[in-house]
Amino acid sequence: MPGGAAFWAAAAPGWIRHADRHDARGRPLGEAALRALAVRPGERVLDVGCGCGGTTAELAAATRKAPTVTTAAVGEAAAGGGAVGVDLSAAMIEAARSRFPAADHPGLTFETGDVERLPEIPGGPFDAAYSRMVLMLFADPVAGCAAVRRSLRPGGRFAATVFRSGAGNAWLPAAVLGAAPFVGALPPLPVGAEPGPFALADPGRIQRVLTAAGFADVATEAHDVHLTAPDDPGDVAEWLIDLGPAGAPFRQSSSQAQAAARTGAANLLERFREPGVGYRIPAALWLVTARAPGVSAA
Amino acid sequence: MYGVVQQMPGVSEREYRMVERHLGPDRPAGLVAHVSGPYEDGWRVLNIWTEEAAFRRFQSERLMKAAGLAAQEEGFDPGKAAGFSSFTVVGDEMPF
Repeated sequence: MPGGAAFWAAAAPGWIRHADRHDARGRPLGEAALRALAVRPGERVLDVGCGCGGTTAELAAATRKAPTVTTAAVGEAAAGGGAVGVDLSAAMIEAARSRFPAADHPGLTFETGDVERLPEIPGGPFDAAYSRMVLMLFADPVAGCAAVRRSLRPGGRFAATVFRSGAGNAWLPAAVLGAAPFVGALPPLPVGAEPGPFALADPGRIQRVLTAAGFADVATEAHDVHLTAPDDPGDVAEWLIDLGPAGAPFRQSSSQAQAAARTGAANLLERFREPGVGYRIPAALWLVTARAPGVSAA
Repeated sequence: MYGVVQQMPGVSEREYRMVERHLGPDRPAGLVAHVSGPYEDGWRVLNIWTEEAAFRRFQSERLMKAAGLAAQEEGFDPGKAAGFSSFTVVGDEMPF
């Protein structure tokens, strides 16, 4: 099942290899949460499960923008604002620091850590917390979400996205099943509520988890988005294989087996391709929003 | 003993058999009992295993590969594979 330090240690090389691609193509997976969070200049923001840091860099940039030309000089950064990205994978955090050096990105920091076990998330308290496609991968989602809630100021905002259903995200199993016959054993599929891409597909469970974690005003809203990619079947297949559970066995396979896996995945992803134009891949998400109890001092 | 119920919404018997054909003739190690049949939303499978590890090995080493071959060679919809929900069942000694 996806989850745990060992799984992410094995998965990290794929995420690092495709970090730039995934920042560009995967952006729609978190865009609704970015909009909902509406980060303001000067705020402190947490990015939960930041991976290779692209979303954290975007959040940090939003906190450092000058508010308006009437309240600050043009080009002057908002004082004190910034974003902290936290991820379980030390390799991905190292990649994030290398991609977004502190010297060039004021207010942007990255920390390795298991959010479910950290007594306190470094850099807090935060005005807002963001998470793209991570909450469903927590081994104990109540513990993970409670840690996020504790890191927020009273009244702090939380916005996250999670996958809504298997049928609405057919590209995920297409990449996995396309590669599976040609590579070594894959990690087992999740059973019941075990961590996995669809562990929070039930909005009732989202509500229960966030409420148990101490959040108020929990809401879910369905969003249908499209991931777009150039018309390069081998590249698109490898991107999606490498980020999923077939990624580690794929990377350990012979070049011949990798070629067969790419072809297999490309065949199953063909339904999302318009030859000569590119890929338009539908994804069904829940936008999850909530608030830490209490009234903000701001 | 370890039991798993898999509910596969939208899956017909024809589609279930597609995957089954690609599992091959060898009985999976550790499988004690297997039954399946339709339910209101699709197809349901109940497997009893000697231990959880045997089920996990079967998933990793055979089931996903079989589903992959069924998708590539017979048009099994990969989206339906992601719709599986599974529940563990506890094996109790009966009092009679």
